[in-house]
Amino acid sequence: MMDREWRAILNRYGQQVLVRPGAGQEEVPLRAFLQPVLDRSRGQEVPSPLGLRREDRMLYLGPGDQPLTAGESRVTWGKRDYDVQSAHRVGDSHWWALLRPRDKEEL
Amino acid sequence: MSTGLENIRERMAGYLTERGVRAVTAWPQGQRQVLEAPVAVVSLRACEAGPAGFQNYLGERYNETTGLWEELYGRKVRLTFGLDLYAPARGDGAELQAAFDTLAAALAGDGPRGLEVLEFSCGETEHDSQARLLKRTVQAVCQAWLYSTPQSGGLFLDFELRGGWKT
Repeated sequence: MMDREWRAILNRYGQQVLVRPGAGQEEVPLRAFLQPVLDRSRGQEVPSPLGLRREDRMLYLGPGDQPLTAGESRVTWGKRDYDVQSAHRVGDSHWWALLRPRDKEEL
Repeated sequence: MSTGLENIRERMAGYLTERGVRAVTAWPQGQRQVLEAPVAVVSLRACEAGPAGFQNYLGERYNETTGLWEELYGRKVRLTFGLDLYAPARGDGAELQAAFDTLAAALAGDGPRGLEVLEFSCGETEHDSQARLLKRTVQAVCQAWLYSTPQSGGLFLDFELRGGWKT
């Protein structure tokens, strides 16, 4: 019952994203909630020896039947790719994850 | 006027790249790129320039172009380069070790043109949690001579960087 309600909420209010569970695996289109994590203590971008590093994070709440793996999975929302920094399954109903913007691809 | 030290990091990075070490200069302006292989990040950690010889007089040199002997004046410079190695945070650190071996071999030779490698040291591999990468601190101390010949009227304009001095 709970799972059905959660899916209905996702389908109605969630953002359309693509989830790639792991390297070399196919992208799965689904609906999930993505929200920026508010952090007043640091900047969104900080200079580093290797270039500007994005420090902002996104909170992901998605369906329970699409697992995410920290350090392997990737989420695409709009034109932006995000790496999964940490991921946990909460009960049977949904996946909670913390995303960080993926670095620019090498030329 | 040239101080002889312009683009010194780029010269070191270019030297390492020619010898098989992937190297970039530190603190680029653009957004950080995905790191798929180890890279040496070249920075200038310290620069000490001091007097060389009496009143910075280094001696004389025959100029084949002008057919004249000319006096050389200059300073001795000690440059400490940061050559920190970064690698993706995966595996057992073997990639980083292999990159360090290549870097050490590159610096065991003559060194970049105009620079003499005096010292070379490294730390142990650690995980840089902010960068989310494996990191090994590496640095090389180089010695060079900045020298110039006086123009007419005793004016010094451009300095050159040289690693050794022969009498």
